Amino acid sequence: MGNEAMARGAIEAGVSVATGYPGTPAAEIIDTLGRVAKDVGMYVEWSVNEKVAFEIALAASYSRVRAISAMKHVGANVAHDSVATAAYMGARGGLLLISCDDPGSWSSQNEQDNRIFAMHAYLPVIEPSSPQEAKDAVAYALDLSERLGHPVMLRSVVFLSHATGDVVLGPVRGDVNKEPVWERNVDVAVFDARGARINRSRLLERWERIREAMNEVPFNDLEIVDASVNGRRLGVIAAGLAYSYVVDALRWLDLEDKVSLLKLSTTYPLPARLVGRLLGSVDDVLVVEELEPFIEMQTKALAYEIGASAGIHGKKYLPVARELNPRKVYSALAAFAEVGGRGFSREDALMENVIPRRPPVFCPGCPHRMSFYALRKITRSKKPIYSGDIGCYGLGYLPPFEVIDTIIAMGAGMGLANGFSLLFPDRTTIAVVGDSTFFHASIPALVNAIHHNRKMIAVILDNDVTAMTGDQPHPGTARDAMGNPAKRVMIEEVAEGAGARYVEVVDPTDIRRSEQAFRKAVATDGVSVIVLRRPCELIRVREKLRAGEKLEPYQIDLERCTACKICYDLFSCPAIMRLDDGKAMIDTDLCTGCGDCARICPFNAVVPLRELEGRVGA
Amino acid sequence: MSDDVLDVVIAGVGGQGTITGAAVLGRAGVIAGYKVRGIDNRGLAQRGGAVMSHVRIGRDVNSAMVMDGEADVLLGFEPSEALRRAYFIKQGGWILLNTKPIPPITVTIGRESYPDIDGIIRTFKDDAGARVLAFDASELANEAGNPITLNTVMLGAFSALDTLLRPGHLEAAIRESFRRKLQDVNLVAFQLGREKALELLRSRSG
Ligand SMILES: Cc1ncc(C[n+]2csc(CCOP(=O)(O)OP(=O)(O)O)c2C)c(N)n1
Repeated sequence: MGNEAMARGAIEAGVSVATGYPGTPAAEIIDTLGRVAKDVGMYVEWSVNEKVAFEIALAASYSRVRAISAMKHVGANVAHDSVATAAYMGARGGLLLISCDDPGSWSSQNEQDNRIFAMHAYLPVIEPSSPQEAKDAVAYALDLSERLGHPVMLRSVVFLSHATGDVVLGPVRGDVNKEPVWERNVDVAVFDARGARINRSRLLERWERIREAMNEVPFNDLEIVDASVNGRRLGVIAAGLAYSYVVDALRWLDLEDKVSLLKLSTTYPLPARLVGRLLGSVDDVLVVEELEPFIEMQTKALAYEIGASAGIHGKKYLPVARELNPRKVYSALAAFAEVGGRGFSREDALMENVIPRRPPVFCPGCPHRMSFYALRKITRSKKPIYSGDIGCYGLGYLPPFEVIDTIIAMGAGMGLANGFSLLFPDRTTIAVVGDSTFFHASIPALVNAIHHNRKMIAVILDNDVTAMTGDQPHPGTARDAMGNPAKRVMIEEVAEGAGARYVEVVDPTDIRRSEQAFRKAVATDGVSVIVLRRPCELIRVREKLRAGEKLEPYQIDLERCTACKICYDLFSCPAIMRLDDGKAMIDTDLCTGCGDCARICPFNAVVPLRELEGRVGA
Repeated sequence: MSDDVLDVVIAGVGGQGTITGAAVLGRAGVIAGYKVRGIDNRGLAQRGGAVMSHVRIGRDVNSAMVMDGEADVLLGFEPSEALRRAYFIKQGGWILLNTKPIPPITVTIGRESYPDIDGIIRTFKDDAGARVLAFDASELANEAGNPITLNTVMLGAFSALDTLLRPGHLEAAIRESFRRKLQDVNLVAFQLGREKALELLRSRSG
């Protein structure tokens, strides 16, 4: 996998410190390093959020050891405040920020292009085109960072991070410093007005050297051909992953030796000499890049500067939104070169078939289902505003629960709740937040609500892990990224310490107690915090199977089932199916034996399968 | 799009082992001495969503994604998911279909209806112009002794097709990919899938 390849690159480059906060498509970089940390002598951390993660890496670089910090694109927003000044500070040990962007928003709230983020923060950007290059680029970028004394960004995208392929491993470097050195130097590390001004000039000087260095990066490659297509000399600039689509498409279109090609890996700042040479050799250029016309704009500016007259095209032929794929690139190249190519009417017709949607659902046994079942039952009639957040529990916005009305950004659930409770003091405002989300960026907003005496309920869904991104630990988990024991920070203690009026911890399995807690919270003035604590079911199941135990599924006793619909309509577990007569049936292959449906069935019609079989047998 | 590249798309439901299946296939490509590229469209970590993997094997493959209408083989682990990805298959390509449906929640709670399996197969043949081998692979996985061997049943069926990969490459990849404890059951599943596909191929030509 691309992410595993990047992890390997960090090992080969002699990285001492690797940090991150989980997020798809970046998570497997730190997951992978955490598993091998002890063997390779690296410190690996899942930090409380991206800002802290980056700051640890920055401290490591300042202490002359190498560090990487890996995060998803929106994670970089959280780190941005420190990143934006890091470039002024420069790097001592190699410092690499890995940003995994998500064109297509496959698992994200937006598809922001972090090359623009890098431009704002003065980070040079390297974009690899394959898993092999991703590994090599991590190691190269760390060398470059150290040589130039400047942090670097490696930008991956979802279909590179999750790409698979053969990768040739390199040796692990033995000559890299791994001993931290403390050297106080307020000139580069204290940003008062004087520090900011001095380092701003130094930054701009360094930037000139960085510009120059971009022309030498080995992942760039320019091939000029002396040929024309339909009377025009054509060129293509293919950035990062798009290069792999371009190479195949040019072959399919039989344009392989007829078009000049710049494989571009340093997308900011542009390697001006290479781009200039291409512009001087062709009549028209097509820039193939995902998301914003970032290279296209820079190329147009450069052409103006050097007086090149080639036509520069990009988003005229390719979409700004969503990821690129072979078909989009093939069609764009065919149109650009005016060579026809194949059509796709058969494929388009096949896409028209009516297929039932398969939305993601809470897993069988997921504790969030039970929490939301109770939350809906007690609060729905009060018509509250449910200010939700991001995580597995975010699915609670869907029927049948509908206990989430907004999902914007991590931490925004508690923040918006501050706003809604201000604007609608007569309604109940309920923030619905996961445990990892709570620690990540919700605590300041909770403190703000308490300080301003808002009437608000914070519902915290504590399943012990960051489930959505692959069960990573967070400050409330008893282990760290390397599998070492870690101190659990208790959510209820944070809430009590901050002065919440009513704090309760309940197991959502105990539906009577959670209903009671919600009722009391609704009646409480000020801020209530209800922590619903039960581990992610995937973990329970995994541990059970590992221990060689069997799951004990439940089944419906059809004699007692009255077809009341509660279990499949209001509870909606994927293991429970509706029979034609309206009664329910459990798919015992999917059932994990959590027993939750047995707890909510008013007719005691859900029983352990073993019991039912025993009865039938008798 | 050329004879020396093998393009495979795998479609299924989270939890069915499609990603492992794709990894074994890719490993077989490496063992056979080819370049391998692929992607796993993982979406979120939640189970039960639609998942898809692409595997491209050949002397010179670059893109990790298969182009629409260019897959040599579509491995459908689940009928409606195979239909969702049918636009990848090329004219005359092979669709290997596990006929056991996993109805999505939209169907189990009665909001949408599940397409008829014979209709799906007709669409594959008539509209997509594909060749189809359809059988209950989930049943064969149970027969092998463990439902999680569905992916190796499908790979066994795949090994009956004439492609760049020989059955030996796939068997070697299975041995490399699974822990000791799981190797035997997976090799049994592979054989069951392979024999089933050979039988279906014989009855096609007969
Ligand atoms: C700034 C930012 N970082 C990371 C992510 C990726 N991400 C999505 S949800 C989530 C956390 C989910 O964990 P938790 O709050 O514990 O809820 P659970 O999934 O366990 O229900 C993360 C890290 C994100 N969307 N935004």
